[in-house]
Amino acid sequence: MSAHSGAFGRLATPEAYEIARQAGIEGNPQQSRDCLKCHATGGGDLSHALPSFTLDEGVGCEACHGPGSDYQAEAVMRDKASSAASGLKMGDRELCLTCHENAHGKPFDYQTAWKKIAHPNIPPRVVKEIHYKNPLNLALSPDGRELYVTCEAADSVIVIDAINHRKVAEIPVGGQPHDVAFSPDGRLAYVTNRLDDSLSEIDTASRTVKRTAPVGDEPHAVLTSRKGDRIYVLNSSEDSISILDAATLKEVKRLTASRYPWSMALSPDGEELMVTNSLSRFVPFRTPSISELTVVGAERNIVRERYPVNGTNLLQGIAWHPSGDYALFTLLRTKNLVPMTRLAQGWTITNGLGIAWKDGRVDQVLLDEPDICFPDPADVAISPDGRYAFVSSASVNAVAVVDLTKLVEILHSASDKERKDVLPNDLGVPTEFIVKKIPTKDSPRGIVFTPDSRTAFVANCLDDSITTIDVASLKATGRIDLGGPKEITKARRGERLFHNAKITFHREFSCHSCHPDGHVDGITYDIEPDGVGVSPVDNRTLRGILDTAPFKWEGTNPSLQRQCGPRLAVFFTRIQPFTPDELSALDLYISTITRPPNRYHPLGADLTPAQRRGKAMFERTMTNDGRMLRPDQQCVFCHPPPLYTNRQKFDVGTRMQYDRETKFDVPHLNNIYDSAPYLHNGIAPTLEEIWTVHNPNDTHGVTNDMTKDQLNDLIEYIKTF
Amino acid sequence: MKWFIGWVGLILAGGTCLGTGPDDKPATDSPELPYVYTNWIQYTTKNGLPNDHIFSVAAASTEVWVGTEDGLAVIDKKSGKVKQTWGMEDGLPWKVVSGIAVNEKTGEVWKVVSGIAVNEKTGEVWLALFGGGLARYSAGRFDHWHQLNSGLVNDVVYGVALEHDNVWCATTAGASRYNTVTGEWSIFTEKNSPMEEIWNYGVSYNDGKVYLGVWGSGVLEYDVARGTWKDYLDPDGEMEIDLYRDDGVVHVITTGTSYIDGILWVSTYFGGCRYDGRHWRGYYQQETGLPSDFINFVKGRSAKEAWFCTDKGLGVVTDFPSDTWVTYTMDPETHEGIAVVSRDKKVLETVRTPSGIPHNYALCADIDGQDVWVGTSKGLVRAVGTDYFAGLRPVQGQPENGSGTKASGSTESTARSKGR
Repeated sequence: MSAHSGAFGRLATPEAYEIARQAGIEGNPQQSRDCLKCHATGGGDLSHALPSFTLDEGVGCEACHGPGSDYQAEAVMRDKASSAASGLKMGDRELCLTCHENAHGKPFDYQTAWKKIAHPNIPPRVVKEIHYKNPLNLALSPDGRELYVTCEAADSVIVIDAINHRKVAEIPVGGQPHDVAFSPDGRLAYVTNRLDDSLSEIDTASRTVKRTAPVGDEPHAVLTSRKGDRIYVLNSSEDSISILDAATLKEVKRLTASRYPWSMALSPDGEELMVTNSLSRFVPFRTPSISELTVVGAERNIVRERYPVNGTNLLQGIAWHPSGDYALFTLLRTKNLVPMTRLAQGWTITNGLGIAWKDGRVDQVLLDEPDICFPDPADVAISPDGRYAFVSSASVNAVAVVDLTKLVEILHSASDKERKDVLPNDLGVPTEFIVKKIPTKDSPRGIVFTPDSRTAFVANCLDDSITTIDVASLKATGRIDLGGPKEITKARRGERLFHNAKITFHREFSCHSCHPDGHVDGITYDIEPDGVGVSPVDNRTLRGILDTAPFKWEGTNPSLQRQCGPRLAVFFTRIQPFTPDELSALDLYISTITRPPNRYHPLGADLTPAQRRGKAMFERTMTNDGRMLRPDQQCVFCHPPPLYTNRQKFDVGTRMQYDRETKFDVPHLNNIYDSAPYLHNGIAPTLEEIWTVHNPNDTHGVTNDMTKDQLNDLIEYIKTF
Repeated sequence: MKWFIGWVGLILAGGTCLGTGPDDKPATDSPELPYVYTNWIQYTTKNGLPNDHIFSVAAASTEVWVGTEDGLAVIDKKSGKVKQTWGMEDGLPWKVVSGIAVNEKTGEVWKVVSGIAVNEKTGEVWLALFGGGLARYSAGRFDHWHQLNSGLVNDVVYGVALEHDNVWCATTAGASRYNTVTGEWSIFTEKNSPMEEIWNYGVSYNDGKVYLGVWGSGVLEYDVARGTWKDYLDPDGEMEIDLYRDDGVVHVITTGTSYIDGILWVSTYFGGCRYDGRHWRGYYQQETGLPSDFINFVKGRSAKEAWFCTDKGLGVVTDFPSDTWVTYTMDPETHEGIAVVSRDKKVLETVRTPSGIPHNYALCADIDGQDVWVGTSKGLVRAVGTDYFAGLRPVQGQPENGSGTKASGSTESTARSKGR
C-alpha cells in the first residue's frame, strides 16, 4: 500500500493522535476536518461523493485528478482530449505543496517525491507476444484454385493454393474476422470482422483490402447474391441481417432475424437465403427452447418465412443440397429444464442435424450415439454431387460423414409421429446414416468441398491448420500448416480444454457448448440434483469476467479455480475433474476472453442526452418526491464503476417459489445489453422488465417513482457500461 | 377510451345524411366534373374478415392489411380474397411467440388493431394495438412491445407511423419513438414538446415531417432533420365555434393528419382543414361536401385531393382549387351507394350505385394507386378506380380548364363520371 492510500489509516495511529493533540485537535483525527484535509480524497467532504466512496481509500486518484464520475469510463480515459474535457486534472508542484509544504515539520523535495509517485512507474514487461491464427471459416474461389481462410486471432485472411495445398499469402483485415465469401466472378472477397463491426472487401488479384464498410454489431456470416449485386451480412449481436449494395458497400436495408443469426446458405436456384439463429427465441419461463430458421426471399429481399425449430438452440452451420430439395443445419437439443446432473443418464445436451425441406417442413435427427456423442456440431457442408454431408464437431476433433441417401430414406420411411417425436431423440438412428467419423486436428469448424467433390477442406481452429480429406476414401490425407506459432502457451492449452468435450461424460458437451464465442447461449439451466425446477439459473457471459468474483448466481465460488474445479465435475461434467495444471490453464484462458466494444458508447464518444439524463438517475440520491435514498437503495451502491458490481450478495426481491436462496450475486453490467435474459433465473427478457415487473417493492433499487421516460433514460445509460 | 366509446355511441345513433342539395338532379351547367367511384367491393365477416369493425387499413404492393376490433386480416390484392386472419381463436400468435401474458394483462382489447404501417422495404407490418401496445408482424412471427417490456409510454396505441429507422406510436399518454436499430425509446409529452394534452389520436410521416394529431392539442409537427417541434393550435381558442375563418386548425381536438406534396390535411371532431405552409383552409359540413364535421380520419392523396372519414359518410375533396367534392354515403333503406358531386354546396350530380360504402360510420382509409380502401363500422370496402383521373375533367365536347390532371391511359371520350 502506498503512503497516499494509507494516509487515512495513518490517522488512527498513536503518532497521529499525538500530532493532532499538538495541533490543538481533540478527539479522533479520522473525524477531524483539519486532518482529513490532507489525509483523504476530497478533504473528507462526502457531501458530493457517490455512495460507493469511502474515506478509507486515503488519498486516492481523485485527490489529484479530480472527481472521476465524468471521465472514469474506459472510452473517455483512453482519449486524452475527452478525459481532459470531462474533468481529468494532472497534478503539479502547486498541488503537492498544498499538503506537503511544512507538513508536520517533514522536509519535502518535490522532484524526488514526483519521481517516487510517477505512474505508471513499472515499465511494461516486454514479452514475446504469441499470436495464433484460429482459422474459423473458409471459402473456395469460383475457379476452385484458391482457398480463403478467416483467421480470427490473427486478424487476417490466409490464402491457400487449393491445388498444391500450401499457404501462399496472408491478407490483414479487420479485428476478429469470422467469415469470407467470394463475389460470383471471383474478383472480390468479402470478410466480416466481428470485433470491428465491419466488412472488408478484398481485391483478389492484388490480395489487398480495397474498401471497408461498417455493418451491424458482431457480424458473423457473409454471402453474396447470385448476381453479386447484393451482399448479405448477419449482425449477430443485433439480431439483424444487413443487405449491402455491392457497388457502393452501402447498406440498403436491414432485416429482422431471430436471435444471434449465425450462418446462412443460398438455395441452388438463388431464390432463398436460409439463416440459422444461434439463440432460441424468448420463451415462457421453464419451457423448452424454440429456435428459428429465417428465410429471406432473394427476389424482394424480405423475410419470407420463419420456421420454428422446437426444442433446439445453437443453430449454426447450414448448407443446401444441390437438388434444392432441402437444407441441412446443425443444432443442439439442450434439456435445460431438468438438472444437468442427468448427464450421467445421457440426457443433458444432445447434438444433431436439422433438415429444412423446401415446403417448410423441418425434421431433426441426432448425431450422437448411445455411449458416445458428437458435440458442438459447428458447420455442415454438402458435396456438390449431393452424396455426402460433412459435419464438424468443434470439440471432439472429427468430421462426421452423413450418407444423404440413407438419411433421406430414413425420414421418408418414418411416420409423421416418428419424425416429430422419435427421430429427434433417437440415439440409435445415427449409426444408420453416419458412415464414418474422420479425425481432424483441434476444434474443426468450417468445411468446404471442391467443385468436383473429390476433396474437402476443414479449418482446425485451435491447430492453426487445414485438414484435407479425400472424399473417395473418406480419409484425412494431409495437414496444411497456416504458419501459427509452434509454442503452445498455457492460455492456448486452456483454450483447447475449453473447446474439448473429453471433459464430460460420454463427451456430451464442452465449455464452449454453453458459451459460444465465450458468451452465452441465452438459456436458463436447472443444474443441481435438488429436484426438477429447483433454483434455475440464467447462463452468464464469460466475456470480461476477470475481477468479477465471486462466481455463480448464489455467489458461493470465490474464484474461477473454485468455479471450474471439482464443482464443475460434480454438477456439470460427471467425469474426473481437471488436473490442477489443466484447471490453471483453463482459468487463464477464460480470463483472457474480452468483451467487445460497447455498441452504445463508442470509444471516446460523449454520452447522448438520454444517456446523460440516465446517468443522473443512476446516481440519484433522492426520489422524485424528495425522499432521500439510503446508499443501499441507490443503483451505484451495488453497481459501482468500472465493473458495475460491488461483488456482494443482495436480496433484491427476486426470489421465486423454487429458489433456494434469497440473496444473489451482484452481476457486472458491462455490455449488459448483449446478454438477455436478465435476473438470476433469466425471467426478464428485457432490461425494462427488471423494474416494471420484478421490482414491485423497490427492493432492486428505488424505481417505482420513476416516470416512464426516466426509466428509459436509465436503461439507455446502463447500456453504455 | 373516449374515442372508442364515442364512435360506438355514434354508431348506435346511426343514420346517414345526404347533404342539403337537390336530390338526384344532375347539374348540367358545370363544365367540369371529378372522378366518381362507382365500383365498390365490400369485405365483411361474410367473406372472411374477423370482425366488421374496421379500425385501420394499409395497402401494400401485393396485399392489404386490415385492422379490426377482433384481430388482423390480410387481403391478397390479386385474388381479392381474405388470405389470412389472426385472432385469439386462431392461435394468439403474439402471445405464443413472445411469451408475455398479454391477454391476462389487458383483457381482450389487445386484439383491437387500431393502426397499421407497412414497411415495403422490409416486408414488416407494424401494428398499433388498442390496449395491447405495439406489434410487428414478419413472416408469420409477431414481436410485441408494451409498457412493461419496453420503453413504450402507454399500451393504448391509436396509430403507428414509420420514419426511417424509427417507429412512432400515438398513445393515450404521449407519443413514443422506437429506433429499430439502436433499440432506443424516446417519449414525447408535455415535458419535452409543445403537447398541451398528451392524448395522441393519430400519427403520420412523410417528407421529413412527423405529424401528431392530439386530442386537445391540435397538430404537432416534428421536423426530423432539425429535431424540432412546432405546434398548430386553433388561434381563436374557441371550442364551440370557429371565430375567424381560415386562421389555423379549425379545432384542437384533432384526430388525424396526412402530409403529402407539401400539404397538410387535418381532421378534427369539428371539421377538417388544409394547410399549405402559409394558408389554412377550413372545411365544414354546412358549406362543403363534408357529410359531417365529426371526422375520424383523413388521408391525403395529393395537394388537391383528400378523403375525410366521418360519422356520416365519406367526404372527398377531389379538386382543391375549384372546391369540388364527392360525398359518398350508403342509403340506409336500400343499402345502395350514393355519390353526390358538389361545388360550393351546389349539387352538380348525384350517382346511385348498387353497392357503396358498407356503413356511413367511416374510420379509416388508404390510397392504393387508383383504388381507395375505406374501413367502416360495418366492414371494409375497396373503391375500384380502374380509370381514375385526378382533378376535374371537362364534360364531353368542352375544353379543360387546366385545374385537372389527365390520368395516364385515359381516353379522349371522357365521360362525365368515369367509372360509372
